[in-house]
Amino acid sequence: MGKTHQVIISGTIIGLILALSQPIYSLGILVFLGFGLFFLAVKIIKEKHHLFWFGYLIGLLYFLFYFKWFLATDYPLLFTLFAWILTAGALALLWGINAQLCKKLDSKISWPALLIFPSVFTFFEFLRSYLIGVFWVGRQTLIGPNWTNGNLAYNLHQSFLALKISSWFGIYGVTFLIIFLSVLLFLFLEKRRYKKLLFLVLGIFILFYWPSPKSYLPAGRQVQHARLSLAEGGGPCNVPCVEISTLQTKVPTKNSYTPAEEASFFKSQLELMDSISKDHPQTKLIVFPEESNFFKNITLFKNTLGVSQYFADLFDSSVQIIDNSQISENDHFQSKTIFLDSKKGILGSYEKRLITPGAEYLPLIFTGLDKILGLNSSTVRGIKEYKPGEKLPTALQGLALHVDNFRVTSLICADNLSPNLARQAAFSNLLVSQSSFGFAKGAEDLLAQDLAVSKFRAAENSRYLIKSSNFGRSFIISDQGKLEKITPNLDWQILTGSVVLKENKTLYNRVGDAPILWASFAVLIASIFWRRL
Amino acid sequence: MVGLFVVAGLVVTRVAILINKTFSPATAARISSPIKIDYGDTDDSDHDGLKDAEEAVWGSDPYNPDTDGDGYLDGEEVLSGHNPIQADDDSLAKQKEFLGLNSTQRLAQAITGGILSGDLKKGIDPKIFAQSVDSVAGATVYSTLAALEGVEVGEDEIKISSDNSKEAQEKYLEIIFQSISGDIMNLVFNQSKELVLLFSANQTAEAGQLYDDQQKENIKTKFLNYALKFQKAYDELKETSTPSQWTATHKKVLALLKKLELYHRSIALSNDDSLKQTIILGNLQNVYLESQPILSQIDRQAKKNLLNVPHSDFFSITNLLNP
Repeated sequence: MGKTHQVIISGTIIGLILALSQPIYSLGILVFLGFGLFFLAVKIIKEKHHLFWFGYLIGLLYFLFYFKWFLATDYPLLFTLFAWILTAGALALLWGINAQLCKKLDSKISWPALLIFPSVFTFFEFLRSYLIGVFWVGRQTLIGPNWTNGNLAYNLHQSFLALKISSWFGIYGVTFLIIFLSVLLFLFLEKRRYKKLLFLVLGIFILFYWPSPKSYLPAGRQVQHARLSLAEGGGPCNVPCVEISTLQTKVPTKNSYTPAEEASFFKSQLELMDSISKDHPQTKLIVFPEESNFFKNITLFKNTLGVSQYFADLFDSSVQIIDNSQISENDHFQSKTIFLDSKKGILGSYEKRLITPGAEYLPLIFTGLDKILGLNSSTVRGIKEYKPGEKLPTALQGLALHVDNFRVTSLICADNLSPNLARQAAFSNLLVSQSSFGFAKGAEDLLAQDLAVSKFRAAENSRYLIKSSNFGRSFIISDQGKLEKITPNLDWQILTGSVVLKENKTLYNRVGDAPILWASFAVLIASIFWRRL
Repeated sequence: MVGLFVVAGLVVTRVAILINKTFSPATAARISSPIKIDYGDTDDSDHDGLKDAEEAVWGSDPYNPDTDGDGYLDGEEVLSGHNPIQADDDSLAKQKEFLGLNSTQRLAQAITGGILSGDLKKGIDPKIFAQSVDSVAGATVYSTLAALEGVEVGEDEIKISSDNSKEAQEKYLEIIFQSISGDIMNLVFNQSKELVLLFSANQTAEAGQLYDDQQKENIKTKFLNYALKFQKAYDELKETSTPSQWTATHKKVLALLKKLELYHRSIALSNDDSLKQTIILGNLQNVYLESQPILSQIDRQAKKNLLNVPHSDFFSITNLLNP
């Protein structure tokens, strides 16, 4: 068997192992095995030019698996395949460069690799978060470190330790740790220190799969959880907390709906609102999913006075209602979240910052190819152009709640992928995330990814996070990233609960990604300089 | 080298697509297909809301929507109790100097006249000036809507049946639901989107014009089609046998359909009277909303009479919004 074949086979095996570590399979611990083998292969493969393709192949398989929900969309197959392969292929580039650079910096892989490799990988993962923005650039999109899709940290969303580390150093701190431990695994294996290797494997397993985060909590926080349970059962809530209800809907994503369809969706929303009003009168916050258009539709049936009257009559006291509508403005759309107090009217609004390529804007690469090839494709012309909001997520002060200082911020769908946006939103004491997965018909792998990402956003900022989904699952995540409640299926339903309002700031919330990224960058530069000497 | 291959690949693909593309003379010449205008079969030749036969009764011109030239459609005048062929004191325009002017021109003339005569004094107190202009404009809005609001349906216009059996009532409800739910629901959900497209002012239109000729034709076509739809629904319901217990409701439903027909007809034929068009358009939602108390009344009466109400999301929405 030739060397090229060896590279292909080993790359494929490692790529598949890493793909299996993704959130949908709940086998996050495989990430250590995958990268342990990765460094073993880096050691074995002598030809440096082979290493780029080795790393690229692993990355390609990993991201093809990650984005396989592209295939669930309704776009023509050729269009979907092109977007899927191009996205995975582009993101895999940095994994290829990564593998080659690791070999160059430490061709024999010695103890310094424990610092160099994690730094290289962490820094390149950060660069990769720009890559989707760059590759899928459109007329008005943001290019920034927002698109963290596929970050290795998310694969460990079931680990309390990983979530805890993210509250100090963010997802890049977790990435650093994953690669550090993987290199350590490899070094013990390579130096035949099997006893230490065994302890390390056991240690990793125990640390990353410790079952209950409750036992780690200081006494005060345990009380909060206990009270939370009481509140869920209808008992008193003695710490700052709020009763919430989220509406989960199941509206398929289409360019247009018939009046009968729209009436049916709106009627179901009204029924859920009616049910909250009658069965959960203690509710203080109601969240609608992305593009629910509830406020927009109600104005079709009521004039201004009638709308105010409807909301005022729903509950005895003030309730905050968060809706998201698709607003048509001149030549574009905006995804706008509106915050309303049932007794006082509209409090404010926030427009989605991170708009989604393919669904909400057309990347230039598609318009360019459409023009160059003269396709005049109806798919390309049919994509709605959204404009990203200019302001950052807004936190609004609740005006008539039984707790003081209630502030809530909404992250709309892809906003949730950006640790930076969530960090800026966390000056509120509760995070809300509104999503619509209708475009992928609620593909399970996409939902698992979203849940994993949401856990990290909550843990990074020590805030409860409420998810309201269309064609997905709604859930409540605790300030430590623990899944508290989740809807059983994708149908129309209400999720209710009591969530604690947090005021503390985590280390990550104060300093962000800067320390770990600067440290990684410094190590990378130092190792290049050291090698030249 | 890789770059060269990419460029070569793109060129080859482009050529292949060009060759495979079906040749269409219209596409090649960039000829846009004309929009088909179909006002539907109607016995109202001038679309003024009066059928040709009715025009004969009133003595108005079946080919002129405003026979007396006072700025109001013949149909509007008849429904609001005025004579469509008398452009004098009986006219909705009331004052002789306004005859022959449309609402936009009337408002402009009233304000200009007020300023010239000194009744509207600009510069002394801007607040009073604004209030005065507001009053004049308010009067125009009122008189424009007054022409459309006087719709009433008499008992002699409907077929009342003495059969008040459960079956007869449920059959009647089914017909009513189909009419209200179908037509009005379509309007409620669709029209707001259509209005954005239809009434986007065209920057390239002639000076003093909001819309170009094509846009005006599109507005006329769309709203006349709606008007004809409501006219058809009205005619059908008028011929429906109505259980006597439902007479009051039936009159309200018919009045609403007639009003909707008239509103849409007026918008369609007011392309040169932008003020009138805007006023009517602005009040259109309130007319749709008039269906809600009617539906609530139907619900109450159906419950009282222990009738099975046909399934309708529109009906359910109304009930959920008006518990």
